[in-house]
Order: sequence, then C-alpha cells, then structure tokens
Amino acid sequence: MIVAQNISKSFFGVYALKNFSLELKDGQVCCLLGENGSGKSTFVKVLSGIFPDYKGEIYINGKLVRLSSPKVARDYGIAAVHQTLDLVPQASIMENIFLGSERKKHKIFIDRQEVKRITKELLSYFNLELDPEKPVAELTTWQKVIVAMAKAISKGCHTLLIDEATTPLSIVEKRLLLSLIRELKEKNYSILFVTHYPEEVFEIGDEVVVLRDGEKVMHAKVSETDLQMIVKAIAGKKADRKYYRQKVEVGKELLILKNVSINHIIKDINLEIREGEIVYIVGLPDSGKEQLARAIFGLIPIRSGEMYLNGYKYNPKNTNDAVKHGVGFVPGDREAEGIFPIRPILENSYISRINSLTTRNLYINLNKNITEFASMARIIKLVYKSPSEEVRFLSGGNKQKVVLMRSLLTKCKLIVCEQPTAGIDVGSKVEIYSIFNEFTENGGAVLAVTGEAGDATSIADRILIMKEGKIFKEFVGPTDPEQVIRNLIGLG
Amino acid sequence: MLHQLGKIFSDFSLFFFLVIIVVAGQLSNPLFLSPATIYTIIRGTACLGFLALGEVLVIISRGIDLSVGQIACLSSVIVVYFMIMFQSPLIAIVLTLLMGLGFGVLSGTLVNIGIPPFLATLGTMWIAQGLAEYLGVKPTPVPSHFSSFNIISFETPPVTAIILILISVISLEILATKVPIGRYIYYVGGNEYGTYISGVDVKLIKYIIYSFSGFSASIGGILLTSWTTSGYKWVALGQEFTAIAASVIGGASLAGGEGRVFKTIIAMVLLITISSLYTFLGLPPTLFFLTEGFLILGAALFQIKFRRG
Amino acid sequence: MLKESLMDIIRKYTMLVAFILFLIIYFFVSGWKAASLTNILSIVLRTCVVTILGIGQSLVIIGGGIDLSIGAQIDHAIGLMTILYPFKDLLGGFTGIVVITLIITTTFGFINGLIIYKTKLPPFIVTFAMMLILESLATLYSYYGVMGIWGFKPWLISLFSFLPSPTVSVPILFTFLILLAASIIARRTIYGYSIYAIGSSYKAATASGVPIGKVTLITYSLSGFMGGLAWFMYSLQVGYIFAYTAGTIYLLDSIAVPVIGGIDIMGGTGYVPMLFIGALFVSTISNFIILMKINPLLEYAVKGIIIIVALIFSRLLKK
Repeated sequence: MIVAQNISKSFFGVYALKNFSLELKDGQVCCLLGENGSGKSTFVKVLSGIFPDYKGEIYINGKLVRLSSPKVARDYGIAAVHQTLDLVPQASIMENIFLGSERKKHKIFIDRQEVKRITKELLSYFNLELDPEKPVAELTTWQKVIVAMAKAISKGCHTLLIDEATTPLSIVEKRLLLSLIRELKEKNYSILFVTHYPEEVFEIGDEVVVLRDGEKVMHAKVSETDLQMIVKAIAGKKADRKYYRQKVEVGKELLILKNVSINHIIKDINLEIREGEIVYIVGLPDSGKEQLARAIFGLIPIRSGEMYLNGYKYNPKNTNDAVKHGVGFVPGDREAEGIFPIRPILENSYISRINSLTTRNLYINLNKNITEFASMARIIKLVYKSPSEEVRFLSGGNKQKVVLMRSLLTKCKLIVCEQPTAGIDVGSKVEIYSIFNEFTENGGAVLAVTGEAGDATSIADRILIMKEGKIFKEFVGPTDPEQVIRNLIGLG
Repeated sequence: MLHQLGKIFSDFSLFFFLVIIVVAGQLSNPLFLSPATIYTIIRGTACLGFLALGEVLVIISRGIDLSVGQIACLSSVIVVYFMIMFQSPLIAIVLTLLMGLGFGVLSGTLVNIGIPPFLATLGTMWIAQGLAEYLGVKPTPVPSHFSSFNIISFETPPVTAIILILISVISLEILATKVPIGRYIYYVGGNEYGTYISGVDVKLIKYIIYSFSGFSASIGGILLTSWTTSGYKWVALGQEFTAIAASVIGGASLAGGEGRVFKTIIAMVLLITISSLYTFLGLPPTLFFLTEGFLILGAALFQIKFRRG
Repeated sequence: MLKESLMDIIRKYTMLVAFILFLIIYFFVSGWKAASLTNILSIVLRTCVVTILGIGQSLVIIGGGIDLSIGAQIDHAIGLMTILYPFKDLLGGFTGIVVITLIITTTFGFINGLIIYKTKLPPFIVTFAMMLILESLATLYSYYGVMGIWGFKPWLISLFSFLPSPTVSVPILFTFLILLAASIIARRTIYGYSIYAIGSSYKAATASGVPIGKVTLITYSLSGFMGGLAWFMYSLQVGYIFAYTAGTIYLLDSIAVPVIGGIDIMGGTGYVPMLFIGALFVSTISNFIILMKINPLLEYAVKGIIIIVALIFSRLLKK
C-alpha cells in the first residue's frame, strides 16, 4: 500500500503537480484521468523514481521512503509501464522482460532455459503465443504493450503503474488489457491506471481521481460516481470556462487540403481554413493530428492529395519552403524543438524571418531590429530582461511567446501550432489567446492541434475532432468542453 | 521485409566476399593461397583482431573508440622499453596492459562526463600518440635473449596466435550473449534510457567497455611487437580504421545495439586477406587504406538503407 | 550596447586569464630566449596558419558537426599538385596553383557536407572515412607524381615572408582580414545566424524553416576552403611548395584552437574572434616545446592533454 502526500514537481518554474495526494491500496485499481498536461504522467514518473527531485512524502506500507532512482523504486516493489514503453528494439522479448533482473545459472551465465520458460508462461498468461526470442522491433504495438506489462510483473512487484497503455490499442485489445488488469487486481496488486477514457474506469476501477493543471479536482469511489461527473471534472468548472475569442471577419480561403493522405492511417483528409479563422483539431495521442500539422508545415511529406495556399498549389519540399510561403510553426515540444536555448531572444525571434526573405541582404545586423523587437514584445506582453538574454532563462509561457514571435515576425498568414498552451501558466495562456485574436484580425489564420479540449473550447472558431487518422466531427462557435471530450473518447 | 533481407545479406555476404577475394587472388597468382600467405593472414587477424574486439563492443554500445591504433603503437614501444628496463618480458607485458587499461579508463571517464565519444577518444589518441612518438624515436628490436617473446613471428604454423584469438573471440561471444554484463552492452546501445530505467548502471557499463577497449588494444600492440620482433611507434598506424571497418563490415551498427564479435573477426580476416592480395599484386599499401575508407562509408550507408527496420 | 550572452563572457575571460597565466609562466621559464624577434615571428607565423585552420573547423563545430578530414584535405591537395607539376606552366604558374588548391579542398569539403546532409550519418564517421580516403589518395598521387618546387614570384614571397621589412605585417593583416570576415559572416549574416541555430538545436532549426541542407554544404565547403587557405599561407612563408605529410598535426591544431578558444564542442555558441587567443595559445605551446628542448615528439601528448583539460573544464562549467 502506497501513500503519496503533497507531491509537487515543477519544470522550469511551472508546476506539473501541486500538492497531490493519493493512496494506492492492495488489490485495488485507482484510475487517474485528466487532459494532456494535467500531470498524470508526471505523477507516474515520480512514483517510478524518474524524477527524484519531487517535493512531498511517499510512504510504502507505512514507512517513509525516498524514490531517488528507478532502481530504488523497483527495489521497493513499484513497477511501471510508461507511455514510451522503454523497450530495447533490437533485443528479444525475453531479454526485454528480464532486463536488469536476469535469472542466472551458476551466478554468472544467464539461464536462457529458465528465462525462456518463464517468458512463455508470462506470454501465455497474457494470451500471447509468441516466440520469446523474437526481437521486440518486429512486434505490433499491442504485443509491445504486453511485453512491457510482462516485464513490470516479472520482477515481483506489488504496485503496478500503467500510464496510458490503452490509448494506442484497438477496442478488442483494450478489452483484453482491462480483463488482464482485473485478474491482476485479484492477485492483490495495487494498480494505478492512467487513461483518457472514463468508461474504462467503470470496467476495472475501484477509485477514480481526476487531475487538472496539476491539482486534484475529483476523488471518488467508482460506485459513488458516474460518467457525467467524471467528464465534468476533466473539463473543469463551468465558472472557469471563458470564451476568449473575439469576433473577426472571415475572409477567403487560405489553406485547402483535398484528399490528403500521409500514411496508411491518415488518409483522405479534407480541410478548409479561411483568413481570420482559428481552427483547432482535437484528438487523442495517435490520432494523427501532429502528423497532419507537420505535413502542412513541410516537416513530413504527403503521400497523395493536394494542398492549396492562397489559391496556389502548395507542396512544401522542406520547412524552408513552408516558411517562404508564409506558414509558421509552433512545435509541441517547446524545449526540444521550439527554442534555441542558449541563443539570445533576439535571434530566436528573427531566425525564421531572415530565412524567409526573398531578397537576401548579405549583411544583417539583428541589433538594428531591436525597436521592432521591443514593440512586438510589448504587444505580446513578453517578460524578459534584454533581447540578448538567453531564451532558456525565460519562463515556459514566455518561451512559448518567443516561439510564436518567430512566426509573427515573418509576416506569415498561417500559423500551425501543436498544443500551443501546454504547460503554461494561466496568465500567459490568456495572453496567447489575445495574440491569436489580433493575428486573425489582421487577416491571418491559426490551425492548432491539441489533446486538450479546454484549450480548443477557449478560443477556437471551429473545432474538428480527429480520430484514427480521420476528421469525423466539427463544432462551430463556442462549445462545451464536455461535448468535445465525449466525442474524443467515443461517447458521442 | 527489407530488414530481414538486409540481415540475411550481411550474414552471408561476408563469406561470399571472402570467397571472391580468395578466388581472385588465386587466379591472379597461383601462389596466393600458399601456407605462407595463410599464416600471414592468421597472424594479422590475431594481432589486429584484438583492436577490433574492443572496438566492436564500444560501437555496439553506440560509442566509438578512435584511440585503439595509437594505444597499440604505444604498447609496442613500451613493452620493449620495459623489457629492457626490467629485464623481464612478464613485467613488461603486465605494465603495458595496465597502461592500456589506464587509457581506457581515461576514455571512459571523459565519456561519462558527457564528452562525445569521438572527441574523448580523439584526445586519448593524441596523448597516446605523443607518448609513442616521444618514447619510440627509433624502432627497438626485442632483445635477443628474450627471443621467445617473438613467438608470433617464428612459430610455424602460428598456433599461439590462433589459440589467443580463438579463446578471446569465444569468451567474448559467450560474454556478449550469455552473461548479463555483455547483454547490457547491447541494451545500452539499443536504448540507453530504457536500460537506465530498468535499473542498470549505465555509467559503469561504459567504464567497462572503454577500459576493455584500451586493454584489448594494448594486447594487440604486444602481439604486433611479437610479430615484427621490434617495438615500433608506427606499428599500428591507422589501424583504428581497420578496427572500425571490421566492426562495421561485420554488421555492427553505428547507432548501437547490433553487432557480433565473431562476425567482426571474420570481417577482419576479409580485410587482411584483401591487404595480402594487394601486396601480392604489387599494389601500394595505401590502396588498402583507400579501400577501407570506401568500405567504411559503404557499410555505414548500407546499414542505414537496409537495416534500420 | 548589447552584451554577449553570459556563457560567451565566462568563456572569453577564463581563457584569457588562463592564457595570460600561461604567458607569465612561459616567459618566466624560458627567459630571454623567448623574447627574440625570430622567436616571436615564428610564433606569429604559426598563429596565422593555425587561426585560419581553426576558423574552418570552428564554423563546423558551431553548427554541431566536426571535420576530421581537414589535415587530409591539405595533404590531398598537395599530393594532387605533384601530379600536376609537369603542367605547371599551363596552369598559370603561381596563381593557377593557388586557385586549383582552393578549388580542390573546397570541393571535397562540399562532398563531405553533401554526404552528411543526404545520408544523415554522423559527421565524425563521414569525415573520418573521408580523411582515410584523402590521405591514401595523397600518398598514391605521390607515387605517380613528381615532387617539385613550385617557385613563387619573389614579390609575393617578400610580401608574406617574415624578413624584417615594411611588409612584415602583411601576413598578420591577411589573417586578421580573414578572421574579421569570418566573424562578420558568423555574426552578421543569415548564414551565420543559421549555423548557430542549427548547432544550438537541430530540431528547432528545422521547425523554424532554416535551410539545413544549404547551410551544411556551405559550412563544410568553407572548412575545406580554409584548409587550402591555411596551406597557402604556410607555403608562401616558407617560400615554395613542397609535399609533406603534416596532416595529422593540422587536425590536432584545428580542433585545439576552437576548444581552447572557448567554442563549445557541442555547438550553438562561440565567439569567433576569440579563436585568435586559442591560436596564439596553441602556437605558443608549440614554441614552448621547442624552446625548452622538450622533445617535439611530445607535442601531440601535451596538446592532447590540454584539449582534454579544456573539455573537462567546459563540461564542468555547464553544470
């Protein structure tokens, strides 16, 4: 039995978890829900020793412990299956399962027979008839999930953390996984099950907890709650929901997608975005929304179909092409793909503009653009010390503004964003919405893809729901996030 | 599908090419496959093989070791140096091995601090090179009263060479396939983060790999000295290329996680045979290095095209 | 007035301080020998050549890559020259040689960049293999080529040589011009901003629309070009062209200069003018070794240790 008290964890000054407390009891399943960025994965990582610098206390069977590394967590009997699965692709199933805890013969050699036998048992327990020697790279997603689960169980843990394992699975596979978890529950494991789908709560859950912006907003026994309440909790308080969109004249078509296919899942996408629109595509992970956004920006190629920008055929060969055509991009992973951490804010802001110029001056001194920079910074309410400050010292919200500024300064017409307000404080969120408003007022358009219904319903003119590579529903005007979430998880 | 094809091709292509080279050699000069040539190939494989053994393990872990050639050169110089100083081949060998190990530990430390492997081992290489140049101003023959040390050169057939390399390959293969530490080398190369999460001490594994590489390189240097019968600072000049070429041609992926010790040695046999063939045809030795350069590029490109699944 | 970023400032001054300390030790230990005109001139000579080499390598490193083939480029060009020797008059004598050398090294630099961009192979392995190929080609050429002396026009030699004359400052001026040009290119051109961006974050550069292919090709071509330029400088000072294999020490110096000159090996940052201090440092070390009658063969070891120390230092600074 694990008791976590007042767990807090922050990244770059923004809290991903704030004073979160939870109890995991033996033989019970606790379901953890919340939108993207609500802190679910962070909590799982804290419990599995990946974030040793957490604040708060964790008690295992009454004893206060410090989960300072994955090994320590493992030694305390906590095993996790993360979203990333963390398997070694070139290694075989049995090697992955026993990674770090190999059974030995004569204390030196790996007892392959034993390992193979146990693996076979584990696999058949999970109803999988596979050759234990098969490399994991050759498995399907479902099989990989099972291998990761088998790996977690094989090390004699008593607590199992499962982070969003169900999201990439088909309905049949989801059912199977849930029944497996039910069996494990009967074997007295304490299980933390993170998911996007509230109906799964009623299949296997004993307790349900909902996170919102790092804080607990709901904690109930499954028997005492219903789907409605859960969806409401995920969506947030009605009083907090505000529609920030200002009415803007919609102009002619800016971006048109005709029967665009990107891979065998994302096929025949038809999309129209007009000048002055803010369009959000909402989908769960694996829905293909990020690929679609990246294809529009020229990061990945389209297999078939046509795109038109301003009436002209648009087929960017690379991102430089896209930028020259007036398309800007705000990536989802701000730290890894959005900012140039050790470069000054000034350079971060102008890098796209200087690469989109058609008439190239040989000599460019960005210092001459400081006045322009300063006034833009004022407009977007950027908080910074000086234009030569390194971007990595800014807060998350301000970093995002710098990334946005990059596109704004290129005088582009279309900004494509991935999760534009993820991991940002509320104040900055609102400021980014007003940037969107102003941008669209001047004839620009914003296309955002996100997993957060709340983000979309705060600012979008139109909300498109994307699932398994297809856009299948559209909402126009201010929408109730509960409705969006319901559609996302397939409740209609 | 392409992945399977790639695997099969690389498994068999080694033997295939080996056969081609041998046949070509025989056709060009019937004396090619004489016992003398075969013994030379065996000796070469044994000596340089030790450089490749360490190198391939490093590459499997997604690293690289550029210092193996110079560590071997330095080893050649100081083993004779110590032999004369302490009048004992045994002490000389032990000290030389310790030195090789020391360089490996240095490389490992630098890598664990976060310096990219190519740069860390480039630095180690330069230090070893400097010392080798300084201490080995002129080639020093092994003292005649220790002539038994030169067993690699005079023993016909080169039984000791065969035994040494065979034992090493077999034990390393066993280690790499059946012992946890050996498997961890593959896992670190395949998914370092996932391995770390599973509780494996990745830093320790890296220390072991680079230390062994330095150690193994000095074994190679000592054997080369035994073959050439003198301590020579350029005895293994440029042979880090050969070690890397053998690893890559033998199927080790520069991205880590793949590679086999025994295939590396077969690739080494192939390379040495090509080298012997060139000598037989009267071609300048630089042509061999030229070929190696293209082989390295070619093998790396091949991996990317066909094996990245 | 805008300040440089904090990292750059720390780097600048630590290296400066370390260098001054070294100079103090140097003069203290070597005494009056160090102060002679010939000695200082030989340091300056080396510094000029090594600065230019360092510039090429630094641009590559700032962009997150590495060029291990720099020394080999030079040897290769020289080797090719031995084959072209019989045709020297046809090739326009001195000017022809220079132009051809520069074209050759730049072309192979371009090839490096092309392979690296198209195949996405790690730069160290591509330039490593290229180094092997070029060095072997160089040696091959010399088998079939003719070793010869290409005389330079006397006025050019005196322009660049270090005889005490009014034109003593020309080589230094030349180097400074190149350094200035490189600094301007690095700091005040689209290309310059882009190379720092790519080195800082390859992914963010792609997401920002930086033309990675073009920038990579330019960078590695420039590296090759600088190699040719450095060789040209050296040959002029010596007075004639001859073939010799100093490829590896060129490589060592080309990496030592940016590392010691404060350019982060991981890329994305670095103050180009500071290279000069790095080059001075490197040349002084070489000179120190000669003066102190330390075996010149230890040069590799000494520089290798210094590079490692500088690397460790910069790593620790990061933490």
